[in-house]
Amino acid sequence: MAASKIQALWNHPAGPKTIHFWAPTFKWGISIANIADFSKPPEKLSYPQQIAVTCTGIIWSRYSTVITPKNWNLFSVNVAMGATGIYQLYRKIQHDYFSEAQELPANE
Amino acid sequence: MKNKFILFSFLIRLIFISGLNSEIPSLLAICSLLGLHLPTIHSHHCPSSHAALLRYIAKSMASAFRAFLNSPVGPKTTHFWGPIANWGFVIAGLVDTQKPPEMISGNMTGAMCVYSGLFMRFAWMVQPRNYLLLVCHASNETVQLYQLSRWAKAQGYLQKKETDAEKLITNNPRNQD
Repeated sequence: MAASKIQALWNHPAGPKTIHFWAPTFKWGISIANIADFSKPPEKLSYPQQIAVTCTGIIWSRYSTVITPKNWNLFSVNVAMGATGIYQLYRKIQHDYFSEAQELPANE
Repeated sequence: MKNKFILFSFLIRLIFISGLNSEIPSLLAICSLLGLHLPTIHSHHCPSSHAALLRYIAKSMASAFRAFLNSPVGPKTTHFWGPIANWGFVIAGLVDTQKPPEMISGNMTGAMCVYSGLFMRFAWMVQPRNYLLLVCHASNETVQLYQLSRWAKAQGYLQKKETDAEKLITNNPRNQD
């Protein structure tokens, strides 16, 4: 039972014997790099880069479900990528536009 | 349809740049010799005048554009917008070529090189085949490899080789540097 399931996964049209598995797997590298940058100070984040990451993540989440073979590995990496991009943008916007407003009541 | 489009833009340029208005029939003959088939031109629809040819070109370009708009990988689908979003990486990379090489992350750029190489193959294998994605990742591969070379140069990986070679040629003792 378990062996046949593993076999099915191994021989899947988007399985590890195909490029459809390895391309998204390397895309995870970019998402993980972005997670590593969560500790980076927001001044060092780049708007264009994070916007590119967010847009790619969202659009590709849909793309991964309309291609053949349908690619859940690609889907999950793009959801992760979109989420990390949104979080980084949130940090950057919070720092650039709202941190001053928070400091004011503390000074009074 | 794509071949036709390319051929027509080429024809227009030829006709207007070199003033070959009277040479249209021979141009068409050359096209057929080169194996560029224009079935409608060879048939009795062949435009007889310059104006008729221009009308024909305009009509064909419009239909080529419509075909592009409605194609299964056209701008009404995600197959078009996915690669467009990925151009963001290429543009970000191009912007970074203007920044000092100390800013480049070797790990990230190296990962990008492998990532784009893999996605070129992916773009070819996926159904429907995605030429836009292929071009995008070929461009990204180029930009990222250039960035990687800048990074390597700044780290001294490429410099060291040169000085070693110099040492061999001039037979300088090693402790001189």
